[in-house]
Amino acid sequence: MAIYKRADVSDQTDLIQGTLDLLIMRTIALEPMHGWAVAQRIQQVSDELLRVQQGSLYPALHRLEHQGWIVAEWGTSDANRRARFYSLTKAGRKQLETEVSKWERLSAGVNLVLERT
Amino acid sequence: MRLWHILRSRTRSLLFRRRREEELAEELRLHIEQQADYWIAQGLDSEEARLRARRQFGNVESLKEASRDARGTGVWDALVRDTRHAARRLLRDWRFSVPAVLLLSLGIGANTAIFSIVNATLFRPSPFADSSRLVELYQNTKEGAPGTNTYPVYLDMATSTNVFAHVMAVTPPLTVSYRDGQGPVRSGTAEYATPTFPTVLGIQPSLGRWFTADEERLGAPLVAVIGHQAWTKRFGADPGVIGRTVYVQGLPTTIIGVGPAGYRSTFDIGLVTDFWLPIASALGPLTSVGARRPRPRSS
Repeated sequence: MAIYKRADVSDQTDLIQGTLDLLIMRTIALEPMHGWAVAQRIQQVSDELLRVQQGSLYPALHRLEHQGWIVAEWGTSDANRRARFYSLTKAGRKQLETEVSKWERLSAGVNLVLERT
Repeated sequence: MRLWHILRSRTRSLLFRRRREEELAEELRLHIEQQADYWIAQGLDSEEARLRARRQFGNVESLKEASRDARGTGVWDALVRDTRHAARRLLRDWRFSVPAVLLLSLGIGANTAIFSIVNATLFRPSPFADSSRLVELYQNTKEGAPGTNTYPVYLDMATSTNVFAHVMAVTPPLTVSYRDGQGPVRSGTAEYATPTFPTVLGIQPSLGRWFTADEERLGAPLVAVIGHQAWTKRFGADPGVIGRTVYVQGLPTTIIGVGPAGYRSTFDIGLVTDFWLPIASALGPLTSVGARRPRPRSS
C-alpha cells in the first residue's frame, strides 16, 4: 500500500513549513479568491520576493480545506471564468490570528538572535 | 462550526470520489488557462502563452497526487485499490481460493466447537455448591469401559448403597414441544430429573419448589420446573406462572417452580434448559447418575 509522507507536499516550497499556509490565509482573509489569484497576489504584495509554486499551492489549499480552516465554492472569476473560490471559515479566522502572532514571535526572536550575537 | 466544515469536506472527499477528481482536474486546468491569459496580457501570442503556462505548471499528475494526499484520502484510496485488487485476484484463482476458504471455515468451526466444550468443562467455574464432593456414577461394561445407566439402575443405586449422602439421576437435554394456552407450539429443551436433583447439586429453585418423591411416581399428575431464562423470555417473568398448566409433549403439566437465575443447564454445552420434568415420565433409557459424597467425618 502506498503511504505518502505528508512532508513531501510542502518540501518543494522555499518557504518555511507552515508559512505558506499563513500567507494563503492572510491573502484570502480580504476576499474570496481562486488559486491562481492567491499565488499572484502573494507575488505582487511581496514585491516579487516570494514566488508560490503551483506544486505547493494546491496541496496547501486542499490541506487547509481538509482541516476546516477554509472552504471552497465554485464561482465566476473577473475574466468570466468558472473558478474555485476559497474563503476563510470562522475557525480559520481565529487560526489566522494565532498563526500571525506565532509568526511575529518567531521572527522577533530570530531577529534578536541575529542582532545580539 | 469548524467540525462541520471538516466533516463536510471529508465526507465529500470520500463519497464523491469521481466528482472530487473532476473538480481537481478542472481547478488545475483553469489555473493553466489563467496563467496563459496572463502571458497573453504580457504580449505573447496565444499558442506561445499556452505552452509557456503549461511548462510553468509542471507535472499535473504528481500535483494531483499531492493534492489528494493533502486531503488525507490517499491512504483510503490506496486501501480501496488494494482491496479491489485482492478480490480480483482471489476470484481469478478460484481453484485456490475456494479450498482455502473452506479449509479456513472448517478450522475455525472445529476450534470454536472444541473451545466451547473445553470452556464449559475446564475453565468456567462450576455452578454447583461444594463441587468437589460431586461424583458421576457409571456401571462398567464387560470390557471395563464406563457404560450407560438407566432409571431402574438408578433406583437400585439410590436404595441399595449407603456410601453417598444423596443420589440423583438426570437425562441428557432432550427436545420437547410445548404450548402455553392458545399460544404457538414451541420446541424447548427438557431435562428429566429425580426429586433429589437440587439437593445433590446444591441448587434451589428461585421461585416455587422442586418436585417431590410423590410427584415422581408413574401415573402422578405431571409437574414441571421451568428454566429461569424460559420464565423471563416466554412467561414474562410472571410470578403467577406457578400453578399454571402448559402442554408439554401434548400432556397437561402444572408449573410448580422456576429454576435458579443464571443456571443454564446441567451439561453446560450451549443448550439452556427450559423444563425439568420428573424422570419417571422420561422416554429415553440414557441417564446420568450423579451423587454427593458425605462430608468427611471430622476427627
